Amino acid sequence: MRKILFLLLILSVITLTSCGEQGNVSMRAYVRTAAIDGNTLTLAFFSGEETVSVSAEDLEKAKSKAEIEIGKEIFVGHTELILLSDCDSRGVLEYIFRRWKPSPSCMVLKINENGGEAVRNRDPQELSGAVKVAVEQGKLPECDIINVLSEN
Amino acid sequence: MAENKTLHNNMEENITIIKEISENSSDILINRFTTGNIKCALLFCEGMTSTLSACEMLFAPLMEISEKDSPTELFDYIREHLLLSSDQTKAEDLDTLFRLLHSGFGVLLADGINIALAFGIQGYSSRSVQEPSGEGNIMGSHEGFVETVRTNMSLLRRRLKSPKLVMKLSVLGSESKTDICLCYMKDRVPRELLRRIEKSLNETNLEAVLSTGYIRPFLEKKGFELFSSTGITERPDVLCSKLIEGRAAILIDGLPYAIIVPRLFCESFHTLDDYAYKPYYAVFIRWLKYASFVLAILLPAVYTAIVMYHPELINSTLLMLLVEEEKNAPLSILTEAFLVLLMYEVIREAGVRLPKPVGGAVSIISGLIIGDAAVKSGLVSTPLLTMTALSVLGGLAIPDLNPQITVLRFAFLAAGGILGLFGVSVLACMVLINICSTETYGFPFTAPISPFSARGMTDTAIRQGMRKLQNRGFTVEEYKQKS
Amino acid sequence: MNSTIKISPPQLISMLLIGDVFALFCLRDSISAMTALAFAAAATLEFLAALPFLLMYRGGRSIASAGKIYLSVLLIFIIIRIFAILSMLWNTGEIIFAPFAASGIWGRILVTAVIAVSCFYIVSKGIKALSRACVISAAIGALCVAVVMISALLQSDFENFRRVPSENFFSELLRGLSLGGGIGSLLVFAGFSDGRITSSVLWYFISNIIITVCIILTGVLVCGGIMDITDFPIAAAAQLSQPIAVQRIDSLFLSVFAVFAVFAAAVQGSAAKLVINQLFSKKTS
Repeated sequence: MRKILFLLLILSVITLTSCGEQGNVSMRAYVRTAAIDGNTLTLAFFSGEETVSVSAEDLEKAKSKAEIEIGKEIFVGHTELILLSDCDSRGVLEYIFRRWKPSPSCMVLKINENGGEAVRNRDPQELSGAVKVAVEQGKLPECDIINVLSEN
Repeated sequence: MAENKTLHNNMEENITIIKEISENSSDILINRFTTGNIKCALLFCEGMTSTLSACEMLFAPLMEISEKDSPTELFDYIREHLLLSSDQTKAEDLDTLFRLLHSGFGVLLADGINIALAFGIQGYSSRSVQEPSGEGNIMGSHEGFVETVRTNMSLLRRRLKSPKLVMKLSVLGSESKTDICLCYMKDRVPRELLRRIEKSLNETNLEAVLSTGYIRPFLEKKGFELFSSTGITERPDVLCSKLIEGRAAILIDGLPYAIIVPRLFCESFHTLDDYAYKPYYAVFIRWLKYASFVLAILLPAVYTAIVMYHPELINSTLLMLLVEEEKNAPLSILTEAFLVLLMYEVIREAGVRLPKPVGGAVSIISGLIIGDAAVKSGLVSTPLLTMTALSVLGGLAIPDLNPQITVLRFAFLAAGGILGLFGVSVLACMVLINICSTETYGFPFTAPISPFSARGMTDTAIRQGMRKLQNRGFTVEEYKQKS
Repeated sequence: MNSTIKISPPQLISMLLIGDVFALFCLRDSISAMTALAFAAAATLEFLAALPFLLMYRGGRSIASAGKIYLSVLLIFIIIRIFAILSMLWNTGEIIFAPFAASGIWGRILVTAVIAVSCFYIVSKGIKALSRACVISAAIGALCVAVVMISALLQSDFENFRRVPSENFFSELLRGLSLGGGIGSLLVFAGFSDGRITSSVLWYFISNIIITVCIILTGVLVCGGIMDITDFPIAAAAQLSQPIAVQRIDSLFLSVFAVFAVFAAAVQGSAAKLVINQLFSKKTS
């Protein structure tokens, strides 16, 4: 009986085709800053990829489009800053929290200007750094995603 | 078997049979002489006896015996009135005769009597007592066991002069007739343990005993166990400390190791040096070893799992460093990790087996060529090489568990590479249950952690000072009572 | 029935608590302070319900002396509990980042199958090994859970007690009773206790209540503000633990989750094996 179980385990291991292909860490693009303006999604990355802006009906389709544009799977678990403008903030944040699973310390700002422009025109590290310092100095309230979702 | 035959009264007949059985083996020397008006013969095994001892202890006294009426009277005289050797015995059958002859005894045959007298005049070449190669100690003794069982017995006796230390010799191996010595402290060892060990040894059906690995499986539970529930040591001081705790040990002639029964998992992390240092330092070193063990088996697996499946668990700065390093690597992290670990195992094995003069070349090849060149060419990434090196170093801190660490490292790497941290955790459960199911003669391998013993933890989780450890009367039987 | 196996109180408590804590990890839907109170009440009711059966063991009896009907009911109860554990794992696997669990039905089958295979292996090793392993994994797991929960509390907000709508006590009591499926295995293993049955069981229920209340209250404090968008509040609270800004430690939670899943199922599996052996030995005798 034990030998059969052991064989089953080995077989399941062998049939997994992804063990060779999956998980090359450099084959993903890691989002640093994201901006959602209406139907437009703008993403800036850690790993030196160009900032990408795509428009789609919903965030899921926009993310897929962005992946095609940059040619890599997008990983959003390390996103530091999300800018929202001209959209249903609560709905978007709920979606991001459930599906994208960002870091609990990811900051969220609702702005009046076009967030995508800010992301495209500024270095993403500078942008998220600026927001972080503003929070530390008390010029902005605590704006991590959990706090923002709890307050709304 | 012919060797089970009893001896004949006729000496020449006995000699003919001996020559027949040994096919005139060139190392058996037969010297015929007459003493006390009785025809006799002295048999030796070439190279096994001391010529000087033979001349001084046997030849001279035997030649000076006055006339005797019968060979029985001659043998009685020799046994009762002459003290020819400290180890004197008799052989009534050919099996015993051959065993004694091949153990370095001088064997005396006489015409007209069907027994032989044997005198211990061993003089074979053996290694002198040296520092043990595998178990280093800074503050302790530098003596280790040697291949001669009687020398090993004396090393123990010097350290434990108590008459309660009992050493029982017996023979194991139908062809090798190896001397083994069961050692124990009679007031501390559980009688049931002794009885079961003796039963296990009697049930072995070995032809030869050439390594501890021949006997150990018979002393352990049947079934697959990752860790051995019997231990081995090269050090007489370590063995004495185990005997005082009520364990039994087996010394084997021809091997510089003693087998200790039972053994606990936590003892792999203990050394005698722990008792030479101050308790706070000893505790630090112990916990360092516990951490090293975990690091050794889990670090490559956890690294691979996190990088492949859980990148959100590394901080972003470190992640970007890894991304940069892995950009040029042609293989997946799992394959890289397997390759690097395999290379290390090949280099290690080559280093152990190669002759010493060539050993240096192995270091150069492995360090400079493989390590440096592989990283520069991008075949292997630096972070992965660093993780592997740390893991290997961790394993070297606990040489006792090296085989298990090696295998588990690969197993966990496979689990982590295929199923991430989830796979590592599930495999850890299976390894844990295997360890917890390991026991020998009812002594749980995971004691004193589970079943928990507060008294045992004073020398496991911490190392209490000797003032508290002294005279605590602790024996391993306490662990069996709790299980 | 192997009457030489004796389970000490820490071993018994660990074996049972692991299943209960795993069920808490997989707790779905909204929770509040009332949930903690109701779950504590549910545990008390279970203790009172188990008492008459436990008194039976005080006379030195075990399930070996129990009737076929009792054993059959116990077996059904345990099998239901096993399926409940596997279904909890099936549902929760995706959100705790078990690889492949999010990649469709085959991924979830793989994850569940791996757990099942490891459970078979663990059950085959016997109760002694399982009880020893449960103590070790419970101790380490408790430490890890404490670290994760305390780190999660850094994100806590007392206002969350106000934010979460209070549930109805009786509906939460029923929820607590439905989660407390460990009573079947308790009735099986209590017969192997080394004589201190009443104190073991009492300590088990006290520990259960304390741990349940602490975990649920931590969940409310951390996830109270997002309770309406969190499917698994306890798991979410653990995943929000971030003691320092640049490093999350939910990997600890993932490991503990997997270990507790395996042992929770294995404990039930061992109990089922014992009952089946007893049932069939009764049938053939």
